[in-house]
Amino acid sequence: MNAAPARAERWRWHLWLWGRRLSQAAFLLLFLFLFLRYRYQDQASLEGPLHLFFRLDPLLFLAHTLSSWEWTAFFWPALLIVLLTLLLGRFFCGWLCPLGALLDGVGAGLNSGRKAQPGHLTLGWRRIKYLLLVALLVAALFRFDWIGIFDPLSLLFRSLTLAVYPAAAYSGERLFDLLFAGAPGALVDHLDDVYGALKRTLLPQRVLSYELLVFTGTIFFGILILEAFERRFWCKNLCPLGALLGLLASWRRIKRLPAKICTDCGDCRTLCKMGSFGAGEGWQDVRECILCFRCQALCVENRVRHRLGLSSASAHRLDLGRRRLILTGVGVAVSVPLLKVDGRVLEADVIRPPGALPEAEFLARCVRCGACMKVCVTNGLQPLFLERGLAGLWSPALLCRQGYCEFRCTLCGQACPTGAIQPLALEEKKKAVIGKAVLDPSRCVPYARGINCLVCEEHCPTAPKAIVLRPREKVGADGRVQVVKEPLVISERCIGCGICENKCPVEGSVAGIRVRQPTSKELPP
Amino acid sequence: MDMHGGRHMERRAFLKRLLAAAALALGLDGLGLQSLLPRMACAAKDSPLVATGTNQDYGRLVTEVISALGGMERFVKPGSRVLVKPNMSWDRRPEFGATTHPLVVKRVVELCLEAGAREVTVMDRPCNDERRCYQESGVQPAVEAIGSSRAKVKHVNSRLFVEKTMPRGVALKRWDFYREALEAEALIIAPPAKQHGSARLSLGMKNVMGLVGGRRERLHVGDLHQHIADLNTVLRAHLTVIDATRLLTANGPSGGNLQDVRVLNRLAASADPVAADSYAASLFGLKGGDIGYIQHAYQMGFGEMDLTKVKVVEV
Repeated sequence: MNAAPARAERWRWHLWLWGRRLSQAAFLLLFLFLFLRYRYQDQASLEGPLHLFFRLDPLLFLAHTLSSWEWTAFFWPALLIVLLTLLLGRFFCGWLCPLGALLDGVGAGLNSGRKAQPGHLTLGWRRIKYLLLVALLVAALFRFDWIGIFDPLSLLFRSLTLAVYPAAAYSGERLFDLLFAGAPGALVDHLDDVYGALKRTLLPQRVLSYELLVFTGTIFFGILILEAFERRFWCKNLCPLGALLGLLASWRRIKRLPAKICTDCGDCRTLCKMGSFGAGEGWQDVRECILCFRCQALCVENRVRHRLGLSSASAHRLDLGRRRLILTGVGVAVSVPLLKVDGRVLEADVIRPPGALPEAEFLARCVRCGACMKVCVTNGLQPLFLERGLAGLWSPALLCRQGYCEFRCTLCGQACPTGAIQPLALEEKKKAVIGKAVLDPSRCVPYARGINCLVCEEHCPTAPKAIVLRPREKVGADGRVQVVKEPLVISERCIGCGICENKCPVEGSVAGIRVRQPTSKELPP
Repeated sequence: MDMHGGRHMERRAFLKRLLAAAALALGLDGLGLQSLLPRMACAAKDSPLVATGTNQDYGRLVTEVISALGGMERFVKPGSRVLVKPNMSWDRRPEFGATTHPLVVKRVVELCLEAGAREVTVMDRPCNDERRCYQESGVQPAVEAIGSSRAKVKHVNSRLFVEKTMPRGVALKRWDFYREALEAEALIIAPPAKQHGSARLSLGMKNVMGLVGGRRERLHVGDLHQHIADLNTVLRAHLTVIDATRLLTANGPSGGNLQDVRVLNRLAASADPVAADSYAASLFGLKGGDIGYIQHAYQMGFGEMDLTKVKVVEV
């Protein structure tokens, strides 16, 4: 082969390489941009293709179908990804997945200056992702839905919401603390303008804090740091979406030529981040190829080609081990009921967002993406840990002392990509009962201290108010008789928004009025 | 409204009796001397002026009422910095009367700009989410519609509160106040007139609570009325514009029920915050003295609450 045309062709392959990187960067930026748009946008509704990535995700589509047994047009883009994967293989992982892009970026940073080691395809670790996929699907049949916990898009959104964004916002706020403290008086107004503009775009409206911040952040940074140990560790070994797409890729119509490692070179083993070439002869496992085109663009002999053809690539049988598969399935089938029969956790007061489906369905539908917690205007929606058992991990609940449910806000229902929180029209939302307020006379100021307060009554948003006042003659600590207005809760008017608990001036974490879970059989008022 | 009149009178009468009992209790404590001093101070001044009027065109209403007070030029000097404090405390639409009507705020701001203000800031520290309150009350869109770079709608920046000692405060000795409000050369308080569970009525002096920092819920504990009067020792409005285009008569201060709203299309303004509030109380059929903080402010010498000593000009 003559050198000049070969060089020209190499250029073309490099364009593919850079095209792929550009695509990754673009999708990651789009993901981050949409993430930031999950906020109050100065109007009642959320605008923009916010759910785009969730809609593209075949694993979430599968999870949704398993939990609801219904088809929804919402997920048609995921079907498109399925079809394209059957045609092209795991292009999603290489070109589109924002977590994959992030891992590639982090990996490039962590490994810069290090010599790449040749990777081998050994089934050991990477079997985990298939077994995990099987376990999650079997568990979902038993209504233990953890698919969202491992789904990469859900995981990324959740980690951004609960850990990365609040931490970044904290740093931003501290920076402004310094700037405001150091700025001369004349500059303060300009600085305040800049700060105000940032708060409308990049920074959150208020300083965010989340339960499970450290827990979520540790897991997320753990996944990123694994890049130092092995490139695309998550994608190769753990990602259940990668497993699903890999299984679909078994039938892909793209053939790599040559189909195995060349005996005189073997660079592909080093170039392939997915380590998709087997030991020995070095056949490529098409389930692992993410079409990154490194082997093609960087082949010194200019031999490697990818061809789209009619016949499917010859995929080797995937041998996960029948016993392993059966053990996984049976293990999950046995352990899930054990995890779910803990009745005590259902009694625990958990205030679900307005529009949430009944608890069992809610947990089945919720993919733990954290979108509702991101969009919540008061920062009141918080992730649960084990309050509802393992089944409830990372699912949203209102912590009223942290933030209340804004009476006329309907954003969480709009933000939920799966309908676990149903979108409610404003008039429905205002009537949606998420809890019931209960007075604690041992802490409530007028009852316990005999002086006026009534902050709860002032803030109660229902019309007529669910908290009314009752003037009572009281003997104060000084022995004087005084008329004090005591609050009373009219339970059937209460929707459990929690603004009373949130604004209650009683010192400490326990307010003088608290919101409990509503029950199907409320006592008469 | 008439349908509910009977119920309200009953409650009013009941509350009056309660207040009488409370006043008796306080009277026994020997406040007689204190109340004499401010009255003497007031007598030396001219009788304060309250301008008021009705009109369905709120822009024109504001213009006419303010000109009856001597025009905005009396309060806003060319090149000065003005802070306009409407009530945007609640995530409610304007027709519910829980927040200041956007057209009233808009015209007040326009008058300040016409008087040559260097900058007019419109702000509040709401009880509900501030972005929703600013938008849903209609105030932010209305002020932005003026299209002047000198008119700014701002959110509270918690770094910009300044702790002030309050030598004239009776119950409060120190509290955090918003720097911009302290520094404003003209402070215009523009509240809606509404019923309030613990303050009885929320008017101009109560509205000052939207410019203070800290955990404001604490101000409600104990003697809210004295706390309101004390805050006004530091932030005294140069101009109070009472938006009585609607009266929120029950379920206040947040409202939410149109049946509780009485449309009056009225506006009242005064340079005397006590007289303005006292006049506004009269719209509810109450006297200034019926409202604890008006009574306290009067006794502390901030202004006149006796409407017989106030010149009320109807435009």
